[in-house]
Amino acid sequence: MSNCQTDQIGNEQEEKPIKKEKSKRPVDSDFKQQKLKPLNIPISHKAILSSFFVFGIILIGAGVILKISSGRIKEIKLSYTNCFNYTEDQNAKPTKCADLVTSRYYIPNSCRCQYFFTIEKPLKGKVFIYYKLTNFYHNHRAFKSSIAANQFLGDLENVSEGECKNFHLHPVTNVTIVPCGAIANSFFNDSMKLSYVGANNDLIEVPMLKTGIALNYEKETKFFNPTGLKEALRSYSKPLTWQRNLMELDQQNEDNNGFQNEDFIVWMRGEALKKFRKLYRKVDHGSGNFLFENGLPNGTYVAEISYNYPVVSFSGTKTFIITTSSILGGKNNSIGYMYIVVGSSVFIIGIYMLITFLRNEGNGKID
Amino acid sequence: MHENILLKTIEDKPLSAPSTSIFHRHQNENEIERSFSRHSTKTRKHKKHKLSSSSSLHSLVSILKHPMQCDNNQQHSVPNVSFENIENDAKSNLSNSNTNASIDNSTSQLQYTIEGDELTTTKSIPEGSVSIQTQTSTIGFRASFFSVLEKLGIWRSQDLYKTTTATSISGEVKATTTARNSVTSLYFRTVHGENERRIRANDREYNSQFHYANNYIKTSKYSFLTFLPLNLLEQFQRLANFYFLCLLILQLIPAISSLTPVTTAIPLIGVLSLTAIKDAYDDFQRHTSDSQVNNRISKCLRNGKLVNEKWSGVQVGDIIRMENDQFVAADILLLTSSEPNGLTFIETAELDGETNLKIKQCLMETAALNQREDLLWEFNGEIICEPPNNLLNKFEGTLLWKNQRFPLDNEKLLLRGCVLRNTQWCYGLVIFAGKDTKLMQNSGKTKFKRTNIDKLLNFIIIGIVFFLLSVCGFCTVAAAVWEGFIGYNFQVYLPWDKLIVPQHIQGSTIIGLLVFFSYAIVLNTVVPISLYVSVEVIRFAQSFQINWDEKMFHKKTKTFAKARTTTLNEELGQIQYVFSDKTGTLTQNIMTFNKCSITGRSYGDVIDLRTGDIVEITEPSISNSSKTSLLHSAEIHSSIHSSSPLTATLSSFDLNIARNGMYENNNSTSINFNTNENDKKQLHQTVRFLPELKNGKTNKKTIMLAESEESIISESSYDKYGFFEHAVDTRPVDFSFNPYYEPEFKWYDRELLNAVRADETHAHNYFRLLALCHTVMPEYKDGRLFYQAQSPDESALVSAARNFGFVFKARTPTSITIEVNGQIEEYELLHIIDFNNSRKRMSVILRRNNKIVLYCKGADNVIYDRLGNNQMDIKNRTQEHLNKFAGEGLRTLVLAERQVEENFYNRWKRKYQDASIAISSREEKLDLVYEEIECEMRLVGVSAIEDKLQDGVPETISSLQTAGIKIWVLTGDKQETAINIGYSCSLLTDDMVDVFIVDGVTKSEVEQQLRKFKESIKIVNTFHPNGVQNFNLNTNGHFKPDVRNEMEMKTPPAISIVTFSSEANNIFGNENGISASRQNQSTPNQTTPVVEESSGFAIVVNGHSLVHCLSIDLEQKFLEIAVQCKAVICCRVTPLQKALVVALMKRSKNAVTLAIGDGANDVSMIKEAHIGVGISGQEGMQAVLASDYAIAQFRFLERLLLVHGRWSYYRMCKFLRYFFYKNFAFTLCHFWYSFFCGFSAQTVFDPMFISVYNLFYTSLPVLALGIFEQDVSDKYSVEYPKLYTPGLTNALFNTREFVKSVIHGVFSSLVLFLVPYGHYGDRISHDGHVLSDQMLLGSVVATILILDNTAQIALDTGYWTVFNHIMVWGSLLWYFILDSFYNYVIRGPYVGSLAKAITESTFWLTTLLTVIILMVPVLAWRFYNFDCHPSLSDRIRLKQREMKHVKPKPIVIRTASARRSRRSLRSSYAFAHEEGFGRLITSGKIMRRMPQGHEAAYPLGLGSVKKQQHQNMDHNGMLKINKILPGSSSANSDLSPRLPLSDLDTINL
Repeated sequence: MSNCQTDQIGNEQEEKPIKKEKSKRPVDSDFKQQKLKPLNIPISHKAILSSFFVFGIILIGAGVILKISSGRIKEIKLSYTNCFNYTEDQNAKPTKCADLVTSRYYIPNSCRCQYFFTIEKPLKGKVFIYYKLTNFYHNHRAFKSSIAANQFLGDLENVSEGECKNFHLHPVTNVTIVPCGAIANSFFNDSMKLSYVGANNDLIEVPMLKTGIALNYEKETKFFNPTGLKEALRSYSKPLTWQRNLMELDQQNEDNNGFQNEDFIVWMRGEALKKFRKLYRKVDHGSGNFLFENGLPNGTYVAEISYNYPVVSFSGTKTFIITTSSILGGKNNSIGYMYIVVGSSVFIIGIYMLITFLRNEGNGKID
Repeated sequence: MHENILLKTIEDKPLSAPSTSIFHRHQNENEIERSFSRHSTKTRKHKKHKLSSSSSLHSLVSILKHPMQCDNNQQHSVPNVSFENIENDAKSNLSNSNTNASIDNSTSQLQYTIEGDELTTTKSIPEGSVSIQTQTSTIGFRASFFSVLEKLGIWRSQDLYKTTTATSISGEVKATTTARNSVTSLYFRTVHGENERRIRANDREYNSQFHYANNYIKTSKYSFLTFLPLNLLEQFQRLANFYFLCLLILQLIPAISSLTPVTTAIPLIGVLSLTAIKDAYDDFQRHTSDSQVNNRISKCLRNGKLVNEKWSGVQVGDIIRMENDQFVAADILLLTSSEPNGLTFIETAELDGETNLKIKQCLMETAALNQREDLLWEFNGEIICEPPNNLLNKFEGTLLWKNQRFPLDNEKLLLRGCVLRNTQWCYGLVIFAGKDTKLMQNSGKTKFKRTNIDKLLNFIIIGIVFFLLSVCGFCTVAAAVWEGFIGYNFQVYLPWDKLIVPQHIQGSTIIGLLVFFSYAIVLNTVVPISLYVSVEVIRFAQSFQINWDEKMFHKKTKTFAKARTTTLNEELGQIQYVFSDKTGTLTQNIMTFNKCSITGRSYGDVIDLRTGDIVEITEPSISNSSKTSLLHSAEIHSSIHSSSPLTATLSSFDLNIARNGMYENNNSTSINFNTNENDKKQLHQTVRFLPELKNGKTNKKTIMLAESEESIISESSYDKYGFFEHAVDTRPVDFSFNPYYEPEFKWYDRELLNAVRADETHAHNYFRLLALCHTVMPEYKDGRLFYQAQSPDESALVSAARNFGFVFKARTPTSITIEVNGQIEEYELLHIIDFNNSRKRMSVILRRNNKIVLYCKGADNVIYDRLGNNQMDIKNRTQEHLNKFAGEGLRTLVLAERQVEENFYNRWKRKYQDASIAISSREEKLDLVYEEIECEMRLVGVSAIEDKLQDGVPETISSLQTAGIKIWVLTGDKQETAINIGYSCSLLTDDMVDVFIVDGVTKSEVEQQLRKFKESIKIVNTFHPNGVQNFNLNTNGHFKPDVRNEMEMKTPPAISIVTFSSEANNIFGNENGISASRQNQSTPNQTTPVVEESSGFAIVVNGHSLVHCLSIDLEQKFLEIAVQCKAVICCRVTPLQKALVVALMKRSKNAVTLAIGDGANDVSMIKEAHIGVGISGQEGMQAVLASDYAIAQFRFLERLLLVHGRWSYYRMCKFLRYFFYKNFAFTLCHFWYSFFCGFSAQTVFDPMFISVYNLFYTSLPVLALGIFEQDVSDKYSVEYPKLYTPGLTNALFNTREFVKSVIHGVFSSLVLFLVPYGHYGDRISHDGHVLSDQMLLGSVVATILILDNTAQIALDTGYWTVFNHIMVWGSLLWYFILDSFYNYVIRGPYVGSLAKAITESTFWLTTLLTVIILMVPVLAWRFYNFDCHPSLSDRIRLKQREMKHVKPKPIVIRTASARRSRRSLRSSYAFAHEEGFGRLITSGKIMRRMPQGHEAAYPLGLGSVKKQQHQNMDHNGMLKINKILPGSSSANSDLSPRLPLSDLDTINL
């Protein structure tokens, strides 16, 4: 009997978790006692206060620099949305290319616009030519998602219909389109030829680079041609709006074709805004072009634009832009102002803070 | 056999009062009539007292019916006229004959069934209970009985709440309806459908047909198989999880999916599995604890043999055997016990918190079964009883056995959770098991507790969802419009989906509608999925921090704090009300003889000889503060010694010897010189050595004290501060010379022992009185003497006497034996006039050497009135001491004696005998007789017992009060005790304007009292309106310097002592207009003097009044007053009432509550409160098991709340504010983008970024913040409890703060999107590439977002641990690593974008601008706030930073005078004492056998088991003679004072 009794008592004691944990007396470590050494970043009141002034000045300075740098950059904008068809015939009634291109019978590249412009001061440094579209929803989700990433990697077969939605099959022949999707379908196909009007009114064409305009990593990671490009593409259809096949995009440079065509790569990159520019060409400043070695010399130029791309239906505009760039980027005056405004505000807040600080010094402090 | 016994009994004692007899075989009408008439007086009397109190109660109508005349007259059934004076539950019996009745009333079914001579108990189970038992003596009341029932029915249905009913029928049926004085009745619960319980002992088959619950306890939720489905079901009940599940489904639909399903699936799966793991762990713990309880072994009778059975295997109807000190496994009916008369002693600490012994007694008939297992196995009694309920002290049932009916009541029921004490064994029949036991029924439902923040979060999340929906709605409209005007035209390049109707308007509408869902998906991250997980992780970590805290480690019990729930931590920082139990929580539940006053001289204080101050003696357990050393300068030190009174003479001791002895024991503090017995008397001198220089190399060694048999050397040495540490001898007096001494007994004042030694008559008389005048039972265990007393007070007194050499050794019904300094003295015990509540005193009348003496002890006012005339002087002096003792919160008792002349005694004895047989008004007559002898007494002295508080309780309470927490004490103890403890733990103070006591019995009385108190509060408030408001909380947690006005306006009715500590002044420089008083309020700790608030109210509510206070109509009134009070004490409350009070505050004040307790009686309260805290490390585990936090000592509550709670709350709030900020800043970028992308639900960020943003990129820094952040250190948190106040007002996180965070987030997202957008539009790189593409912009915005988040968290972090650094900077780095890993290794679509961006100056310029725009307002705002409205924590933080190198102050210990309250209020408390064992003693009932000599006496029969059995056999005869105890008084005494005479004469049958 007594045995059982002790058993029972023993049991009772076992049941107490406290007793079980007896040995687990809390350890007096800084971590467990929440006494970890504070390694506070020593920011004093005064440091914060002075940072207002420091940052204010930095911003104002940056704004001024941006403003100056932006001021140095020249931009020539050729807004040609509503340009008229250029014909040799002086008497012919000028027609808007925009109207022509919407016609079903429009022959590609048949409508051309010509722009003469003068560059007063030579454009120094690298010169880039961009095309700019506005009101074009390159960033619309449906637009952006209507691609088949597999195709670009060279895998033409594993494309589901959902990926390219309306642009998966050719409506007439029911052949799979390569490259499919809305973006590919809307590939920008205007072209521009820029010529320098020489001393004796002869036109010297400004040499332009078709390569190097796409971002390297894009080209290297996302776009691959299938082996035997032409063979592979034979059983597929080109997108409806395209004038040329994928493998014939660049007739001069064999390598700049297929998915690796840089114009194509540039176009395929989704834009963030409905108003965007894309790099069209780089002026070739390379050897042999003494005239254009250091940029574009001053003088008169003529730009001849083949008008193929309809934008008027959605109130879009098209512009070609010839510009240089600096280390701080392209031309943008407003950014400089923005810095100056923000910088000044920070500075003013700093002054106000200084006043309150001086007025309330000691508030909350000992003594 | 039984018949014979009873026959004999009745013949022997014709006076036998049927009222107390339980069973009669023979009776006649006369007897019945007589018994009835007696009862009618009683009932009438009770009616007077109780009738009015029955209002407002839902009650159980339970009518006991006893068929009297049976068809065959072989038996005379007797009305069960056991009249039970259960305090709360006065009943009268209605007995009727041949009645078949059934009552229908609104809620209950009363059923009468009469089957032959079977006695049937009727049951009724409405939600409340009124016990009505009516009794009649004669037959033929059928009709009238029906009319009673009819009336009852009407009464029930008509006015359940108001009507007081006294039903009396034709003067013969007296039905008294009384209110059960407990709110428990309000919550009376029954098991569904069961309206009576039938059990047949040892008949499993029969019992199994009723499907009673077995004893298996299950608290776990899942089993192995059900875990996954149940857990998932549970998790998806969480709003957020369900929301994400819906999103996931939406994302699977390609037409609307704007994001891949992975973005939601990854976090959702992560969240679910984390939670599941935690739940699984929790449930595993529960399983373990369940199985521990269920696998306890109990001895069960099976097939005539005792077998070890697990608790879970015990079933209703089983007979089990329990042994001493074992827990009772279920609610059992006591059948037989080792003790005589079937007495069983139990301790019910687990149930009601009372530790005194309670007596249970089985039926004599069953007691005869003894431990004969064969007989027990054959026992086939059938029990019909009430269904399971939660009323602890009520049980009704009937045992049918051997064709007899035995009424069963609470006295025969042992409840689960009780512990058997002083009883070798007992057998019992299981009546309720498992969840049906009263303990489990009382434990309240386990509620899933949620913190306020949780609730707010849910609310916020719903709000966010609505916000989200409205944003989506906006986008829908916008998208439709856009499609209509622009998209329609843009179809050249982006034709509408084939699915969409080509028509202009319809098409765009449909697109718009689809966009709704797309945006719902894109913007889903505003509802932060990782929120719950992060919150859980933080809480989990915080719980560990609580568990680890060394400062909450109790060395004595080796217990550390334990956060048993890991989900409630931050609520600890918001506690507004603390509901505390008293016994075991505030007090140690140890009564110690602390002070005394003998003939006008006070003993018990240790006086610091230097200052004359009384040294506060504390246990050496609080390491620092309790070291009772005082710092003095060297000069003072030397003067002490010269001024030390040399009260001693050196006699037989040679100084040298002593010194040698000392030197040998350099480090010892005391040396005991063993002296033989003969020397003892000679050595009653105090030897005091002069201070003496010890050998040169050490410092002064002072020998402070040397007593006759002991020498104490104390060392005083230079301490490191260059002060002398002068030790006042605070070691307890060593009583080891006394063979009967108890080492636990601590007494510090040597003077008293000296007085005893010096044979001072007064002192001797005093202790003799203590040793004789009591009802304590001695008991010998292993040769050691122990006392068993019904109240701890008594045993404290007797043991004090024992330690001083007046050892109470033995008692018989007629004698008391004590040993005075080795000499045996035997007294003839003539009378014990026991305590009861109205008398408030007890006396013994003793005879020795032909001298008769009356010793009396009792409440001061009672005794003072009965003292002789010639004692004015001593009375006055003693009165002073009484005031002092009472002022210190001690329980005082006045002792007096009277020498009685033989003649006078004889005359008195005759009167007494006359009175005791008086038929009418015996009680009053007896009282008069007692008065006659208890007068003209001589004052002997005063004893003061300390209900020992736990360490640090007053400090903790005042600290918590300063923090703005209101403390309510809810105790089952009596009013006086409760008030007393209130004073001693400084909950009540003398400077309180008023202490209201609500003790009304009826509703109207209570209402009247409440109205009165309200008036007086109003009056006081008009005089100084701010006096009561101690705390000026302002929602921001800042302090406004309006305190000065407040101070000026005060016209305090009591003195307010404001002391300044230099430190306090340091912090709150006065020049800022913050008054010093405020500062002091926040520094109540040891280091700074205590400031006493003048004014404030306190209210003391009695349990029976509380019933009314909690009723619907008075609730508001009660609350109004209670809220105004600084302290609220509820006494005499039942466990469920505790819960009700908590619930009331929760409900009507919307307050955050914390309940702290240690016993099973606190379980319901602990479960009810927002936070339940259990005191661990003690016997009972129930409270701890039900609690959310377990701490070992009440004082740890301070740290738990002020440090951990505050930190947790602070961290959680900071975490949440940041969390919502970052999610809004992140998500809304998409919304801004929608304006530019044709509302097409195009995302700004990489889908991968979206899915891992919360989980991988931003969670760790904020987790580190949530775990490690501290604004001020723990030390300051405790030192300035005011820091707690922001939590009380929800200041740190509420809807306003949330909206602020949201606005901040919205602003940030706008800046985050627009600034880069503005920058990158048309932006080209230096080499001509276009930078405005979507991926690049997305990467840039994402990167700036991460940078901003980092900057923000860096600003938010106030306490940078190494982990914070790792997390913050690490996660920034991590972003770049993971981003490039994803893009370059896994080939994400955004490959190269970020790399391209950061090589361009544009990126850096943009980042700079964005971050500055985002940070400047935040910095400026904080800077401004800190400068202009610094919060307390700001100030302290600043101080902390600047004071880092200041060395800690030396600790100075307060002397008692510094703290002593100036309380003039005289505690009216006398002696919260229940009736003792007086009757048992005089009746000889407890005695196993008549003692033949003192040595041989084993009064409680606890000598040895063997002997007992033997004795049981031997003295069977005597056993038979003894009558059954009338219902033991333990549970019920207050309102129905028992007639001592009737008891006595029952006993003396």
